Amino acid sequence: MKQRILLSMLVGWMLSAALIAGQASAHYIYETERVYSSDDECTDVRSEVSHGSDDIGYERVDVYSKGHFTFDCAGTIWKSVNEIKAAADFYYESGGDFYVCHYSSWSYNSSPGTTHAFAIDWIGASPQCGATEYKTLGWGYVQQDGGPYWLGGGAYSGSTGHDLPA
Amino acid sequence: MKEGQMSIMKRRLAGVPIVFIGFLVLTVFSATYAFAAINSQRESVDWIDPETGVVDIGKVPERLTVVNSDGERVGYMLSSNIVGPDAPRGVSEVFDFETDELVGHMVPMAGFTPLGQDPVYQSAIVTESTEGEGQVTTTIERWGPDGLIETTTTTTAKDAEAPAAE
Repeated sequence: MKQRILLSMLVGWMLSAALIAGQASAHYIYETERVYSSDDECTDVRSEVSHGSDDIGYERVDVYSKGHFTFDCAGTIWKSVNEIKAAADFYYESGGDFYVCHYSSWSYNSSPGTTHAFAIDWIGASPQCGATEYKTLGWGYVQQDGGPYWLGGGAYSGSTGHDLPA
Repeated sequence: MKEGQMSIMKRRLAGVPIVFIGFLVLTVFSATYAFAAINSQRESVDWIDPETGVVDIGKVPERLTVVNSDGERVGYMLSSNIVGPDAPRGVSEVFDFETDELVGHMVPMAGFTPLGQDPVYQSAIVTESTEGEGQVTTTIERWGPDGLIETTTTTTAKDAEAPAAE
């Protein structure tokens, strides 16, 4: 009986240690979501929050222009200059809620393509809004093929934020 | 101890639980009230799907709480400035929670700037890249405390794309 208890404690301790080590080594958090889908076109957004090259914060948004070829949203749709746009909001966590710390202007594709990425790698000694957990809220839109509308939306970098130092 | 004194002592002690319960009720009431007051400035995130992290544009609140570089809640900005495809994403006014008076501005790449002060931009490397047919066009902006320092644009073969920072 005593041995079983000791064994259970040992297994529990090892699992906890493995979990903590896993969290500590997670230097970036990202999520890709379909933010728009119709019979003709789809838009996917990948949002990321990481440590960055200077360890004080990195945010990135990728926008994918897609269409229905063979499978749902499996193909890509070519877009001309300034027909894909991305932007990033940096949200600050406090007490389980998130507040606006920073946001970017729109970033447009400067050459024809199917994917546009926008990233901010914060450098130097300046902190963002203090040491806490952050999320990137990425926005991505694609100009409708032959139409006036921007098709897309916004998505968080993940259900959990990323701890960043001051 | 005499019988009379015991009787007086018992009566006095009998009142203790009532006083204690009263104190407890008051404490709980005060704590609840304080919690509600704090909550009135907390950011509701029910406009973001907890499962997918995708924004429901129809549920976005009119006001978004803003924090400064110390992580202090300094006021609110209108969500229409940064939410949705037609959001201008330029400089946004920030207002006091209670009085609705202007307290500062949110400036892209600088964050909250108090009224009467110049924006202090955070140093950063901003990368914008568009993936085209066999090639990637990349624009790199270098930002310092006074704003944009320099911009360089390069076009490289797709396989030569630099990996994202972590």
